[in-house]
Amino acid sequence: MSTNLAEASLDFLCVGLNHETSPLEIRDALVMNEEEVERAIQALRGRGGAEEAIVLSTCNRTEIYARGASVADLPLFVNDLLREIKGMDLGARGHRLYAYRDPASVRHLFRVACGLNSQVLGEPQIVGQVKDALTLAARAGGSGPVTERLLDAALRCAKRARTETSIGRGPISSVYAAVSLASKVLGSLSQKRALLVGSGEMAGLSMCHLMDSGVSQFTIAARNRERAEALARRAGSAVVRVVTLEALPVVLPGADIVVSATSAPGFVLHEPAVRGAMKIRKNRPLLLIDLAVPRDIDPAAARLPNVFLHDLDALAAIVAQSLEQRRAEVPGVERIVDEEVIRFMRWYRSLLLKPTVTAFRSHFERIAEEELERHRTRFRPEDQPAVESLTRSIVRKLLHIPTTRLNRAGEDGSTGIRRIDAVRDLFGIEREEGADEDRDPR
Amino acid sequence: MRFLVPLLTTLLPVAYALAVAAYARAYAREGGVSDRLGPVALRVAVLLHIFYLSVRGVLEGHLPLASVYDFLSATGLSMAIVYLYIESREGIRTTGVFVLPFIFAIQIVSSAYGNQVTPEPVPLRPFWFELHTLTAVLGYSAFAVSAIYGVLFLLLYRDIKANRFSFFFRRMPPLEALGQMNIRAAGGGLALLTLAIILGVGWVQRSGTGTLTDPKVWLTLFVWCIFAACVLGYHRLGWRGPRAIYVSLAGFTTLLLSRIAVDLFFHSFHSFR
Repeated sequence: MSTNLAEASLDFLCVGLNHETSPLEIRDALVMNEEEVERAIQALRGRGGAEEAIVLSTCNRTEIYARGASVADLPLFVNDLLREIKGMDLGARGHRLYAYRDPASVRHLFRVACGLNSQVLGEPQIVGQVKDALTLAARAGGSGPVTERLLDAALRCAKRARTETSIGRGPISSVYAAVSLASKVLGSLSQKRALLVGSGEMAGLSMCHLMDSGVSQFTIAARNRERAEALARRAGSAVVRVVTLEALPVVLPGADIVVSATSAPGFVLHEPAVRGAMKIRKNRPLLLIDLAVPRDIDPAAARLPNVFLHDLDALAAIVAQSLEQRRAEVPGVERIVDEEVIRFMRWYRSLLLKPTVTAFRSHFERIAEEELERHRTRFRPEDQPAVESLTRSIVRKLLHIPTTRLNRAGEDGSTGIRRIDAVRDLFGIEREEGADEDRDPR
Repeated sequence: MRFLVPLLTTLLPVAYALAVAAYARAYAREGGVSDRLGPVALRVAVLLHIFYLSVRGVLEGHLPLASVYDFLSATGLSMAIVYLYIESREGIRTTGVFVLPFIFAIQIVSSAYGNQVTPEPVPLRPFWFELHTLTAVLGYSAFAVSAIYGVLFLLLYRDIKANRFSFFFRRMPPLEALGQMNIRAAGGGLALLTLAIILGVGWVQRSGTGTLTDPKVWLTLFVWCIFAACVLGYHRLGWRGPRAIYVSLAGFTTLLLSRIAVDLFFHSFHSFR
């Protein structure tokens, strides 16, 4: 594609699949590692003729964004590419790839970055994945001025969605809900001590979330000491002590948060043990989280003052509430996406060469006119034609080389786009035209 | 300057009403960016209130605390100041919507019924007496704010225990923070009341006015004892949760009832009439 942007078409395409169009087994099989992403980008740049290309490959989506691809049917090309790299023929399995063009592809990317297109609405990991995609594309030579700007805009859009709406608020998993509850009851968790009962996956996940929230002292009480020690090793800089389940009444008074997730058939923690612990801890609040089915903690413990016992049902209620709250935020996020798409397209249109050259020349001519007007009284009337002529001549000469080079930008591909963008930025042409008043201040 | 008094008397409830509206909006708009408006509106109302009391003070030649309505107005201002202090210290703005309506109600009563500069001359009052009154009003206001935080604590405590995760649950600060705000306000109130008692006793002994066996004096001492037990229990005996809150609420209830009893049933030498 020439950068002589005679029309404001982006020539930008997104082809991909996600959790809405394909089952997990397909998505799993198509997840690309870094090397595969680089291969895909090089193929798109080489055989596909794309000027810029980015691959976003996560466990829930594999999407290819390309600008200026010369192939007639990009979805078909992508299908072939996936067969070549991942050995999977999507056509043969009847799974169709979706494709978006120009503003629709920009909108799609922005929605993805905001978490609107995620399996868990508003999940935050996608922001990091978009950043990683840009880094990988830059490394593979796939990124360029438009895609860089596009991904920047997508990240800004995601940031706005998170700060201006509640799309990212509230826990969306039971374990995260448990940690949120801990913060709600105990405030800052940085000085609190956690007791993990059990050493399985849920206990590990709880430890990660609690560490993220500032807890740095853990006790793991488990039947399987080996597995508990393996879990303790994952704690990094946190202080972790491993004890047997029998030592539970001994370590209980020292804990502020207890997360129990064993596969024991009966209660692991009985009410008298909790009552005794509360006496020793002088009735300081104790949060008991029961993640086990069947339950690990005697529900009678919930009746004790300052003991907060929550099981999976309670946590599920919090998660459901958060998701409902997030769904209510979708229209607000869509509005932000709309605004950012308009903003991006406005920037892209500003790269049209002819208006840029005209605006560039007008910028200098207007300054010359203003200065002449300002100093008019300092010259005799008979000298004024000569002064005007001299000024215009200086401006013309000053502009000659920059204008010639700028005119050549149309033939210089990505370099040309950067040049046009730089000129507009350096001389504040957007502000003068009033066409991009909300341009990124960078 | 006299013309300013009726103007400010009318403006004050309006300013507090605007602050209440701003805090209510921020409370309702979870995740919004408009939560700075409330503190600004409240600061403006507080400055206006200070200006109003200063004008009254200049015109009357003493602290404008001659009637029960003056006392209400000063209590409203003190509560606003105590609230702003706690808000800026804890960085929590979502409780304002529960504190400010009381301030607004107090001020509207004061503006509606006590909008006149005291017509009759008040005998010259020494600085120590003025300070005694000021510290007592500030102390009572701190107890009032503490009581509001106490009630919020109990509501949130009950919700969490019962697995009720309502909008209130989402908007409230952590339970522990509410408990701390309750005890800090109570502690501040206790310190101010202690100072007020010392100044009051000193004034009674020097001036020979009144008596220390006055019902208001011993009821105040009783209130002081309850709050002292509450603060001591929290810091020394590790009282946490509802127990400390119930004690502080008992202190505030006693304070309210004792004031009503003193004004209605007892003959006290320094009751407001």
